[in-house]
Amino acid sequence: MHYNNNQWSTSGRFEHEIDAPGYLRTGRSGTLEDQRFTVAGRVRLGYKRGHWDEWWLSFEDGTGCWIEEDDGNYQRHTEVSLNDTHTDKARQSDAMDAASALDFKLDTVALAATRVGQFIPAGNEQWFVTETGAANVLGAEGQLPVTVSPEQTMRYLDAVTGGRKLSIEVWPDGALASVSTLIDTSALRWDT
Amino acid sequence: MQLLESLLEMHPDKIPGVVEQYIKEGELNSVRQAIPSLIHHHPQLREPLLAIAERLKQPPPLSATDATDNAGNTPIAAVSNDGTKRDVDAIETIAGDHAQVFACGNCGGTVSKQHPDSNHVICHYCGCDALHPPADGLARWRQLLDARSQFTIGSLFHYKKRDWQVIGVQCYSGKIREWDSEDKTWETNSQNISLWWLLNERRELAWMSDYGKSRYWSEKFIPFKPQMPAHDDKKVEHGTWELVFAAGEFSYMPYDGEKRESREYLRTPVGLDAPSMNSSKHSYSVETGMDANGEPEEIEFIRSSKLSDSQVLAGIGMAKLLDTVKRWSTTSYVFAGTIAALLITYGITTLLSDSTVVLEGSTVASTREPTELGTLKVETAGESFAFELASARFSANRYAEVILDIEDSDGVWAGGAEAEFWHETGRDSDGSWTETDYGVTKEFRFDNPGSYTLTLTPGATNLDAPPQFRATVRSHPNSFFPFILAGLAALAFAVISHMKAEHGAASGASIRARLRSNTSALPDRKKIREQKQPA
Repeated sequence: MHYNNNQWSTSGRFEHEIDAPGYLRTGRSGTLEDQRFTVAGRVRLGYKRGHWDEWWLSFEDGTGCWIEEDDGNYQRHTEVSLNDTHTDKARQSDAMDAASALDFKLDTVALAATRVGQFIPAGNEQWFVTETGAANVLGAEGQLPVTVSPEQTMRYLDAVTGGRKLSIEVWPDGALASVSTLIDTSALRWDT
Repeated sequence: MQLLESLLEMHPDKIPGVVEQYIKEGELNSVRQAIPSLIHHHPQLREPLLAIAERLKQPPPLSATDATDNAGNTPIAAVSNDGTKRDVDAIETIAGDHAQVFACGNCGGTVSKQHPDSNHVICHYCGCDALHPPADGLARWRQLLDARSQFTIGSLFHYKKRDWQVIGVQCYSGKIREWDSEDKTWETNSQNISLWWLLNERRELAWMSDYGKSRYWSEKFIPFKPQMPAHDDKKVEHGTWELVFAAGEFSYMPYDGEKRESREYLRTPVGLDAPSMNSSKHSYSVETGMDANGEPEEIEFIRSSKLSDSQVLAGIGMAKLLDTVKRWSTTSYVFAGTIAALLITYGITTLLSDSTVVLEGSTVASTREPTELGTLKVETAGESFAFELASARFSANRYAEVILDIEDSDGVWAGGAEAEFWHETGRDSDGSWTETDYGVTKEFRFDNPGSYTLTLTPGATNLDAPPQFRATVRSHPNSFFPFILAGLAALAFAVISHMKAEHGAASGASIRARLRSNTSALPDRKKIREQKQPA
């Protein structure tokens, strides 16, 4: 279920069951770097060899951020500004930080031809591409700032530099990008 | 795999009964793992053994109800992969109640799924996908993890003040290519690795690898200045790997023959890791996962720390063996110290002892006749003397021998020595060289007191005429013999202690995956025979 435009709607049924609650769990609350949060929801995305989870943390001040769980690493994502690109996700998220915005133009055609091991320019930096591929939404739960539907597909690209990861997702209705940094799990304190 | 070995040595008629006995004794997982091999070796036992295997998939006939206590062998209730609730053997999970514990859909072995991202759980008892077992039972890994391995899936490891648990293992076979700067060529060596996947209670993942002689702890990291070393970079070790075995749970789907490439820096490039990280304490590598077509699919940056044998032993919890290793190490140091003390004592006593020249003499140059040096008086039995034999210098690339004879007062030969002196020159890549030996000292210990006559006789030589030889006899040399005996004994003990310490540490710290063939992956001989028979 999700709430958008002052009404609730369902996204349909998901074949993939969300199982095995982990360190992050919908409904769990705590403190992240001195900010109170609640784990509001989760999206599970599947790719050729497996899947990964993206969690939406809702803060007390009304903002929020995405946390990606990847092979035991927890990465906090901050949206970046993409010229000429508008998406639900970019609009709904209040996590945009102008000081860290890369503000670069996205050439989706060139992106599709990019291979791992290459460098791509973003902002004033060269980012080393570590992974590309196609993914689809396997399931979702809780309250999310975006609209997701079962079997939505997208192309993704991950690149790294300066201890950060740039994640670009090209969805049918647009593209979005975010920069993430590793969270020290000791900075995550749970209420229970 | 002692259970299987002992069963294979038995007469086939006895096997089913003995298997039942093992089941009563609680050796369920070992029996599950042994049954396919037993069927392979004794096809006539197929029916009764398959019946036992089917029975092992069912809940055990225990009266215990649902229990959440994971201590000991108390069965716990778990949801099997087909959704039914059944009792399975207790299994320790680091994630507590967050983990799923269930019975493998193929063989009934107890497996766990602790990491929420685990997409694939390979049963380490039968080699099948535990979550989605194949209908025909043939899509299995060709090897199995020995059920009685000391370090295996579920084992705990304490490191960096945190408890980790093994959730999976992969074995890679490959080649490492590195530049030999002396021979100016690339060298290639084969290598096998056991790679263990570990999880802590925060769901953080880490990896432990065993290269045979060394072990490493590895973590992924996001680099600051990422780069992919070139294919011909001589400052990098280039590895190509193939996955030959996997068991446990993984965050992706591993497949038999999966390819990876690694490039390990021999010296860490500046700025690769975070400035706050002490790069000198780690080794770094860039690893590429390849797809089925051999194309790069994903690149990861790995930071590794070498684990000492003591760290591995302490991490596994083998405190007793660690104490034993430390004791043997201390013992070897004690014996090495004893040798040093003996040498120092000998040196001091030699310096302090009073050594007197009791007899000296020389031959006449150019003469080949024996020269009597004089009479040596030995006062007490066991008295020792040092005989210094020397030659006058002669021209290059020549040698000369001298023979010392010692006769008692009855003219009976009591001992002697031969000494060869030489002067050699030559030339090699470092230029001209010269080596000489014009003197030697022999120790003699006289068992009986009395008067002894000493004679020097020039021996063989390629000089035109023998040089002059000289002999000097000194009394009261410090006998080295007891020191030699004590030193040899101490050296032997030191070497044995050191070897025991090294061997104990190395063998105890080995975490190489112990594998055995998965005979259930072999073709059914009975079916093949039936197919070959004429209709």
